[in-house]
Amino acid sequence: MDAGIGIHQVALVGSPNSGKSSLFNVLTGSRQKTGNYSGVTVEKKQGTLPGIDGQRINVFDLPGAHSLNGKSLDQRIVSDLLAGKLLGEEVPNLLVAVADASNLEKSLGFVIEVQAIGIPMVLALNMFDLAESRGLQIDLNKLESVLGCDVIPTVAPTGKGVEELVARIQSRLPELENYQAKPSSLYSTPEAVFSRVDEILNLVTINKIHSDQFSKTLDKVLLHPIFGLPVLGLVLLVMFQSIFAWAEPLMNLVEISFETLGQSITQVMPEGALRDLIVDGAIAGVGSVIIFMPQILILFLFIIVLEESGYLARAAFLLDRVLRKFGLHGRAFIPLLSAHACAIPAVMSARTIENHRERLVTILVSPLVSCSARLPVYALLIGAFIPPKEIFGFLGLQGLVFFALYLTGLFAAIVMAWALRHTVVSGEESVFILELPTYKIPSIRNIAVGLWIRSQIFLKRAGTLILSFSILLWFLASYPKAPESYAEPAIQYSFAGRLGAVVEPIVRPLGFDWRIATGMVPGFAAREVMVSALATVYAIEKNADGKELEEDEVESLLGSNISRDWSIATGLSLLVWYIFSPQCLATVAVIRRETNSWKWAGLYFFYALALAYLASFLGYHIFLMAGLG
Amino acid sequence: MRESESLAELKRHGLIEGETICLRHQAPFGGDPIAIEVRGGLLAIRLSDAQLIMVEPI
Repeated sequence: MDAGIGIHQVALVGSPNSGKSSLFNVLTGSRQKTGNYSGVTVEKKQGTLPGIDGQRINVFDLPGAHSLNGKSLDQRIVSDLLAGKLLGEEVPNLLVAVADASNLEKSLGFVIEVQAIGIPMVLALNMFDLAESRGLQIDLNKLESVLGCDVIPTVAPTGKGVEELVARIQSRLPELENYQAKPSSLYSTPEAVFSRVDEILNLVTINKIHSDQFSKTLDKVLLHPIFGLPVLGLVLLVMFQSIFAWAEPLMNLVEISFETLGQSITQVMPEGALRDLIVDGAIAGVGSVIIFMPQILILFLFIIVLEESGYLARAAFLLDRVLRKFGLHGRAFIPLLSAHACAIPAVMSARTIENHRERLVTILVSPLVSCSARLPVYALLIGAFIPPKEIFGFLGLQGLVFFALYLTGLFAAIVMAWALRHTVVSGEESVFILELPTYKIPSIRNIAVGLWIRSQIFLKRAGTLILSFSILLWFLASYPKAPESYAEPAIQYSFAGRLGAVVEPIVRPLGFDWRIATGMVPGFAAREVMVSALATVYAIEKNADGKELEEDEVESLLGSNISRDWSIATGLSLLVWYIFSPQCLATVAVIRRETNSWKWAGLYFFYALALAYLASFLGYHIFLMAGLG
Repeated sequence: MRESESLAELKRHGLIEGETICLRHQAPFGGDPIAIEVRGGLLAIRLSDAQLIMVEPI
């Protein structure tokens, strides 16, 4: 409310399918940061625009909402913030209402509801090109005068109209230093809202929009009662196959870069503890995780494209019946799919589910889905224990196993949901309403911004968490130094070896040796650290054996090292462990934050631990009986 | 309680008295949920909620 400090707040409001976030990306570019609204865990995306007076304008993207009276957490945040009831958050000086021009019959409803609050507003009629191509003609001047606010047609993907929108924002702000919001209840019922919308549209429409034939035709196939599901299965299969196939050249590139880096440091630096720390600890550890970045980015690429195209909502429609049987909401498909990338955004995206119990169950089971941090572990173990055979001449066996692991995680999640819904979180299902937007070609900019933000998060993690664990583990694995007379490999004398020895008896029934036990301890903090931990353990062990260590062996031979040292049953048992095991610490923390209770975070941790132990134990003994020992 | 909540939510999505709607799709496994066209958009709802809507053919 206090405009005196000179920083103006501009907020984007609109429904989830209005292209609001897309417009926000164009307005702020990659200069955006994400945070939370104070007191709640709804993501707050912020960026800035230059003002004409040289002051910064803060722009933020409010969560998508259909109505000010909605029940979901996202919608309540929007209505509370605009009414000045969200403690610690300022009421924006100016709103940019974003409406889907190709569906004004619906999108204008929320616009006039918001406008009634009394905050000055500019209306962006987004996706105006699509609307025009479907025959829409409206009298924009008349719309401006009827609504009493500026109306600007925009096309977020091409940036059309955005310059004008920015100019309008800049020129409007100075006159809004001290406005008085006057909350109104003019449009308190949906009937009143929509009859006003019809009234307005009757006045301004010159030519009505015709329906989107492209979406209609596509839906005949994609939503077909019989073919719809096989097509969805095919889409997901292609997605997981590509992760293995496309990523390989890029992964080789990353591998060569880290090898070269390690070699040049070995040549330049004098022998000693510091060189060991850098080459064996830092480079071997971080390198063995960064190598999986191409796969993680391809996974995110698919998820962003599926979401932007409008197909993700269709998948939720197709799967609602199945998910409902397990006590989940069709909308839970979105967290469950996002969890393939990372459990943290998945747990957070569950807040679009309005019913408290259905939301809670979705949160508790989403981390069972195999996230991208499990990719390094899966990829290493599959590479080491599954032969690169072809089935039917075109399907790779490795890709297929990979797909099976993901399916198992997903299956475990929904079975667990059923179990939870019949025990600790029982209660009736809520209303299910899902908008199926028209199909759209995803904008390159949104994909780029999305991938950019994801890479930043991943690299930051590799640079901080994984780097520090790698160094810590290198230290634990190197000290104390074994005396000359010590007959066993030196690492068994070190702290890490001793820690591994303590854990080993507990995990021996699962087929794990002390090296795996050593890697599992830091692996609880983050799954991918397991791989760098193993790389560190093996690199050091070989050094201590007195063999001349080839630099490329540090990382690239980790796979052949473990396929030589472990039985297939052990390798597969570890794969099973990583499908279920509770991880990472950040996920447990985010569950605690989203549910506001340690009870639920603890429930997740212990049920997942028990599940992992049981499944690994059974798996190991089945594989042994199958003669894979 | 649940019915009035569902009804309010359906209304907020444009399902109000006098609207023309059109059944477009039925999901696999017994045609539930359904996708209906309302106010120019496609909306998926479950049959249990759809029962709250009174329709007459035109």
